[in-house]
Amino acid sequence: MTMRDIEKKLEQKIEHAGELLEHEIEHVEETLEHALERPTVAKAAVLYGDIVYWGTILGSFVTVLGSILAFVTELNYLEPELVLSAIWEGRSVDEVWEEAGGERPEGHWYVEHLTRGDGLTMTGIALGVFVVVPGMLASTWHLLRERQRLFAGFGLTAAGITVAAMFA
Amino acid sequence: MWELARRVPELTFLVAAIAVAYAAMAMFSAVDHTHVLTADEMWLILAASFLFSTLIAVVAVLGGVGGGVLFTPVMLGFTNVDTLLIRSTGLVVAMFSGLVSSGPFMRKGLADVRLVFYCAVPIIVGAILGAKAAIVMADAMGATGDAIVRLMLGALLIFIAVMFVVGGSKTEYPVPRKLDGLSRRLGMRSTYWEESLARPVTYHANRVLPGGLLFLAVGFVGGFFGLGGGWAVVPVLNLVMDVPLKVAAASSGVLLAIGNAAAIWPYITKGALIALFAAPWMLGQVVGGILGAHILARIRAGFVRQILIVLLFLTSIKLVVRGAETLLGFDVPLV
Repeated sequence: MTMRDIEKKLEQKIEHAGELLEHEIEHVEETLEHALERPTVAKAAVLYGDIVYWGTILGSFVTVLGSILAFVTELNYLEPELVLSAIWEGRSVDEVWEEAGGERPEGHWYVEHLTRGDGLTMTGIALGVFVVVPGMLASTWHLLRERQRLFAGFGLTAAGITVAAMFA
Repeated sequence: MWELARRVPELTFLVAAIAVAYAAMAMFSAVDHTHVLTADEMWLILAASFLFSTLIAVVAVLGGVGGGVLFTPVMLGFTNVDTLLIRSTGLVVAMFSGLVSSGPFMRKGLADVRLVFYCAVPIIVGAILGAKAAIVMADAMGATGDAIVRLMLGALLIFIAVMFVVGGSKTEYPVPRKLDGLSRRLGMRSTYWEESLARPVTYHANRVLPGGLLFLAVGFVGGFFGLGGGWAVVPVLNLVMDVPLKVAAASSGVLLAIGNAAAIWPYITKGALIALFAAPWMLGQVVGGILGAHILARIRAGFVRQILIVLLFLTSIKLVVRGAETLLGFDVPLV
């Protein structure tokens, strides 16, 4: 091999190394660009957040409507003045129900009194509390679609226990 | 303020509806006076409850705790309202600011839905057991039970206040020393965009088993006392599970809302949550929760935290004294 051949080979190798380096720099730049991008928010999280947020707002409006009905009409299951006075006097829960004209309930009493002020107020609060269940179920469904079975299982379990607590 | 009204029209509509409602309740009231309260006093109690609840929600958001930690002790210490009613309403106060903040936190990617679902299971189980225990104790022990609850809560508040004082060791971006096997298998790795650094931050939840067990205990205490559990959720996520502080704070609100949503059903179905009394507290939390999340982020949270510590210490003294007075049959003057 002559000196000329060696020089030629060296030149080729340097050229090749330069190309490799250029490619590597491009790759690093691309990686850095990606690393500084805003991560996309999981759809399962957005679904849960939106359902719960708007459900709570809806529950609040129902509660406002119920409160007006309870105070400005006589359409109530319990008499509001007796309820508030008994609470303010420090009466027990049983006594509050008894003094205000009802019996301490078992279960979802307000469902049967949706047209009354206190029934509607309680429905608004219960709706606000309940929205976490559809929120969790929608989010769980999306986690399942993303093949995140374990976390979908946690979501389903949490929703299941909450529903069980509603009827226990 | 106009900017906020334009950006969050639902808040504007809600505040307007509440203002109209309270005005209508004052002008067209159909309630009669009783030997305890006049109709005006009843209206005043409801309106003041709404305003106080809004204030609590804002302070709670800034202080990084649930509203229940302020509402329940203050009501137990300074009013005659039945302890079971206070604790059930306390859960409403503890959860509704968390519920409305779930939307913005989830949309911003600050709350991690997988972490929330994992922690939700033990916190829900604990919270339901705590709520059931509270109802059983109230039914079985009456006034003695009330006194014991006040004493225990007073002691717990002192512990929480001390925790806030010495809790300066929280780390914004904890680096896990060694990832344990279960945490590695669960793979709770996530990335969020950190506005203050203008770059994404990646973290990996660690020590998930001890974290889960602690959430069971936090859920029980929160459900039993009607405190929620905001005072404990952030430290467990941040200090035990190595979750960055911002994610821990955001996930805490979402997690509390889920835990308390389960804990409150036993109170609702047993008639221990009275709608008329709880409604202004719920509405105040929704309005205050949205306000706190949107416009008050620039206020120094440290200052609010100091006020919170003083309030907790003062309330704990009152609770311990009231509990001891009932149990031991003596009066402590001036307290």
